[in-house]
Amino acid sequence: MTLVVKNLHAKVKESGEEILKGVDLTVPTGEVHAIMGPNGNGKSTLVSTIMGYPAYEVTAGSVTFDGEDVLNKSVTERARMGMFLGMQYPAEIPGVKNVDFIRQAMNATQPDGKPVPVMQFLQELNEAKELLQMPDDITDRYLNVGFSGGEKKRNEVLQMMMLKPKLAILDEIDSGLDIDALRIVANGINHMRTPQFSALLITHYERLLEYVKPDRVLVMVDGRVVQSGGPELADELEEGGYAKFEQLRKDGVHE
Amino acid sequence: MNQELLEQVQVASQHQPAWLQQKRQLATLRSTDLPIDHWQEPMVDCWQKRPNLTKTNEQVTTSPAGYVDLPIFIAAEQYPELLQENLMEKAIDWQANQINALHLALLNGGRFIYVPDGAVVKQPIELAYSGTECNYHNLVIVGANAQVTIVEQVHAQNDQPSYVGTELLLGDSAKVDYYQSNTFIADHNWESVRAYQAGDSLLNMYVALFDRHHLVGDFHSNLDGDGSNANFKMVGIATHDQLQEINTRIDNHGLHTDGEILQNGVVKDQAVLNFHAVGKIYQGAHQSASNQESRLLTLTAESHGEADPVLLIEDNDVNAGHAASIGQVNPDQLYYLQSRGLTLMEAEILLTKGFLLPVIEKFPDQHLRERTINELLERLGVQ
Repeated sequence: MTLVVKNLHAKVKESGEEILKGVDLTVPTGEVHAIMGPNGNGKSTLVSTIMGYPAYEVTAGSVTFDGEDVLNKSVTERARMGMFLGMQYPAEIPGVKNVDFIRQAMNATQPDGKPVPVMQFLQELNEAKELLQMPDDITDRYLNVGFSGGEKKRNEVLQMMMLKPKLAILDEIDSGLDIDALRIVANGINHMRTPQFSALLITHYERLLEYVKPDRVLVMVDGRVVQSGGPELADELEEGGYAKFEQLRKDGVHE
Repeated sequence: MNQELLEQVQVASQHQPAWLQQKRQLATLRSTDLPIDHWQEPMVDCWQKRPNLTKTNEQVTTSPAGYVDLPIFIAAEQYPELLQENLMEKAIDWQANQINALHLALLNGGRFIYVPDGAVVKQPIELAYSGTECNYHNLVIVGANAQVTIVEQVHAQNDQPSYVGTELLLGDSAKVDYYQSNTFIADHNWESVRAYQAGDSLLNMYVALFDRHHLVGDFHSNLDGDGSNANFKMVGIATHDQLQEINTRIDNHGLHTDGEILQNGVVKDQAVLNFHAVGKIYQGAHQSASNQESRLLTLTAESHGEADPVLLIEDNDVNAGHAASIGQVNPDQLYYLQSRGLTLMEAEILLTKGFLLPVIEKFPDQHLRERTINELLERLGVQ
């Protein structure tokens, strides 16, 4: 289940502003890659485009997952192929109970299309909640409504653990988390790691990568991947910052 | 004047008490002088051309303990004073407009419930009915200090326009929980639920507007007695080319009366759902409250809704407020749900449920709450 992004260009539909200017990357099955880089350089746009967020339009390039073209598929189909995007700002949905939503999502993404038995579902849910140290009532609340920033992030990881995607893309899953919460979230991600599971992590800071060891680190500046390397690249960035990439920035800041 | 219609009404009512015969004939005669609007016109027109006066054979079931429950025409014989004084006089006014007058003239079914003073009826009274009467009418009288739960579920099974009317008359300190979810099969229908409330009475009204046809809904309470209190909670769905015109009104006449309206609706496809809510506090109704909240969610660009709250305040020692919103479905919510594998339709259904559930969850009876949720799921095609 390899994710391959080739020469991907995308713009904001409404303004026409080009954000992605030829992204190339490959996440092979079983690997965890991290994309780092300063704010406003297209990291979130990249992952939103991969998932099919309707506000962006692909103007060139390709995305394939397990050899299948992703870009001509609906968001729903992408999820059912085994792709998952843990969002930076998950939507709040009043009136929809977290537990009901997770159950429906889990059933929707079962490879064999068969619903998960209730007991099995509840058991898995409880185990995942425990691992993420989430309060019991969190699943009885309306989806993300009134959740703190940290609760929202954990709830994204909770959904990932329940849906068991083949590829998890986590967009700044570490932002706004204190060190304890970061460890817990990292623990959740590590729990998923198997030779069949790949992940793409978007982060500003290398701290998350101390807990979730990436196989590759990519640096994204001005809508392109400008450097890639092993986990040690994250340490270098932590020390030297992104200054040396700044000259690569061409026109303007995108946020 | 429609002589033919008058004769048919005379024939249909000939075995009924004289006062009722006269009242129905008068209603027939007077109807053409009364106001009519474009909602009433197609229904009235249809009734005048093809009046449905067939009355089902009424049967008296075993009399329940503690209260009276009779078919309306039998009640007209057994409780002539109560019916003569109250039938379409105090809550639903037969002289208000043409459709009300014809509803009385063409009346062909309904129930009479009388809960005497002080009676506390534990088991909900079911006003469940399925039949072809086009003018079905319930008259519910709840005496002083009496308490009752009324569960109305009328399935009007005639393809001619149908009007289901219910009058709730609450005595001093009476307490009524009223649930309603009626359905129809005709293209255009009407339902009217009107209450008259004496001092310190409490009416909680819970209405699910889940029918699939054009509907005018008229929900009203008259808070006449000091300290009376009306609480309306309603949910609605309109889909396809459906038109739902929902008029809700609470009039505060008495001192320290309280009227609260909460309504949420979801509109899909090319449908239209309008919530017209009026709260009126009359002069002298000191320390009264009137609050209303109307919210509409439109799922498609072609669907429409209006939520126009009106507060008419004549007194200055009151507490009144309103909130209204019409929102399109939030694309980020849809995207989020789809990104977890739900189809667009599943996501819309979930959002519809999410929009209406917070109101339904305020229905106090667990069984009826669950039933309403099931009706909602059925309406959404989930079950």
